[in-house]
Amino acid sequence: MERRHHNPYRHWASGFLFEVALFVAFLAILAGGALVIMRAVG
Amino acid sequence: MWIRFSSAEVRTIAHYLGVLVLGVAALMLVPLFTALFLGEWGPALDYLIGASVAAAIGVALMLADVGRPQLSLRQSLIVSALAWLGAASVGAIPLALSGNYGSYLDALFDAMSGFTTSGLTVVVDLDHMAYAHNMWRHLTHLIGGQGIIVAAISLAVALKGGAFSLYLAEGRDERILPNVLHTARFIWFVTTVWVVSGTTVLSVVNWFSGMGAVRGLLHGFWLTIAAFDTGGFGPMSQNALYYHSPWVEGALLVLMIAGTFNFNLHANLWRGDRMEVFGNIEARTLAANMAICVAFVAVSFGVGQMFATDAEVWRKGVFHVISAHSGTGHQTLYPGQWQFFGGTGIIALVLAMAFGGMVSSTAGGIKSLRVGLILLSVVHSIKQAISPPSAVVRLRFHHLTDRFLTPEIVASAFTYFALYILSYATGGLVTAAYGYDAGAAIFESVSAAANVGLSSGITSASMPGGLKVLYIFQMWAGRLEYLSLITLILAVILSFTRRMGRAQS
Amino acid sequence: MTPTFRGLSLCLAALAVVFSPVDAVALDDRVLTPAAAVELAISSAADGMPVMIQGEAIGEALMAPGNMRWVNILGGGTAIGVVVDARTAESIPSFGEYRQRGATVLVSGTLQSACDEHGGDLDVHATSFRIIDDGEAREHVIDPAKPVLAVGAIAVALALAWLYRRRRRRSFVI
Repeated sequence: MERRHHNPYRHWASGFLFEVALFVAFLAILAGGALVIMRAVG
Repeated sequence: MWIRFSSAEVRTIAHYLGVLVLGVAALMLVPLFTALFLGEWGPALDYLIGASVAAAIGVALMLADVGRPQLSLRQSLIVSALAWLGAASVGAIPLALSGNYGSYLDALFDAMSGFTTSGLTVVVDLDHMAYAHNMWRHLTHLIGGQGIIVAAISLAVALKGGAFSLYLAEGRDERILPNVLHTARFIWFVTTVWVVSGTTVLSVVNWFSGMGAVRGLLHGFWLTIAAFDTGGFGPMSQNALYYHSPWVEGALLVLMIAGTFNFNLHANLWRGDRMEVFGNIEARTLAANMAICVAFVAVSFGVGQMFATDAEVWRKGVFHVISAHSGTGHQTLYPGQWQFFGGTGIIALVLAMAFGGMVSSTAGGIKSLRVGLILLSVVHSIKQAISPPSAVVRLRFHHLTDRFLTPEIVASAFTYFALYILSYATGGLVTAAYGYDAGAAIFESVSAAANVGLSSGITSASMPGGLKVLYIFQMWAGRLEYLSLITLILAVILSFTRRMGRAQS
Repeated sequence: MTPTFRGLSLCLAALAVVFSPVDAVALDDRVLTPAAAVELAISSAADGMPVMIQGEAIGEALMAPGNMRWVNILGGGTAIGVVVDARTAESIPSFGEYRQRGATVLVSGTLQSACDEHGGDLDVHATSFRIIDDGEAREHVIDPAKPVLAVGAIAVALALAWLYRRRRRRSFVI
């Protein structure tokens, strides 16, 4: 709970990089899954 | 129940609308300086005229009440409803003078599409448009997009509860930034970091692709704000297809997801509370929805075999699902190529557009928080049905804080769901009545009302004027999530009936 | 006019048509606009159909894999991407933008409805590429009404601002 009091401006860079990594990972999972499904169907 | 507006209240509303219009006039200085910097004298004159006329209208409206009037909550709902109409009306003036629009109505269409971060366009000869005009078109995404979030959060803080409470954690929680001003400042900070990063990456990509220094930078900036504010305008007629670049498309994908992300979630992640995103009902619903839509598109690609290579799966499949779901509308194919998606793929895209992104972002549509809550209420009904009659079933969900699913929350989610479905269906019916194919009509109607901007090819300069007016209204209503618009319409009707009543007595 | 002379002039006219590339192209109804090529690609839903298209090169030449370049060609309100080799792309004298009408080019090549090589883009792979004209500067004549309108609008805005200031000051006195 203590972490929630953190000032969002102080560690913005690590937060931002975490977001970028999160989104790229999510996109990679989506694309990978889509590829598997498409190959299974076609 | 409804208290009618007195003339003093109407004058207060006019005053604040004037302030907003004056703000739009000031922002027209950006394209004006762009034009002067690049030596585009004709467009510079267009923005001088646009800014002056807008300033004149703004000050004239402000003259309605020269004191320092206080804005009540009801009035602020009306002001926010009229803000988008006012901004689009004056924002269309320089575009109408540009020579790239057939009429003022066409320019108004693009201005409304821009300010509501939709991205449908009726521009003509975009490939020869001046840089200044493209700057203004893309800037409307940034202004309107940031504007709606700040407006929604301000109202949420002010109203404290009710329908708007879904935007924020309820009550006085430590996790809410103390007040609207701080929230607005944080939103601008997140936006600045993302826009600067996106512009840098896309400019470098553009320079490596062979674009000139200034042109590459401008295109990088425009693509970034169009994607991060989930707008979808592009500076070339082929939209994102012009670049033929997996790098551009990859960067846009990340920016589109960032743009559809709730600003409260951004705040949590930037504070270091990383687990919030995995437990949040809204983030989970959105991720699951996107995955399901991608799966259906993948099945359709496998069956159809038109887009069946590895690169095509992500550059056509995943790209357009994310573009649709985030409410952006960046497109890397021609409208006619939708048929290559197959029926399954097209339905998945329409559903993605209809559901939309997260609340407290620039995304449009029903919003995944509401979709998640509706699914949860279905689970609740089933659990209730199979439990013994004496049992009380209470379900918990996590959105910024842990909460119980209450009938009020479910009712609010269903209200918005119903209003969006009503708008999607009505728009589709009217479009089809103009003689368009049923599938294309639904696609375009959902795209407009959910502020997406993908096009089945109906939206063009040559479409009927009635349809342009309909889509302008749908984009406006969808952006405001109907509530403030309904307040406005009721206020107008009530004041009208009162006058009628007076005339009769 | 004597029959001989008439025959001779007809021959000359025929020669003129054959040796003038621009006219010959304009007369050839197999040449498509980019808009027509896009429509054809969508209705045929096939890759590799031979086509000839003519249109205006816009923007710039952009990198494509394998030392190739993308040149987007506009015509009939629609632009289509054409893949050409780097040397050909360098020979294009001008590209369309606000100040410039780009070079008109005639491309022979194959039409892809969803190109497997280029991520599903609808494109044309050029086999031959010819520059028909170099393009020209686009003239932008400023409507003389616009400066008048600008001055008028500024004057009205300033007058209203002055009025606003005056009335607000007065409202404070009361």
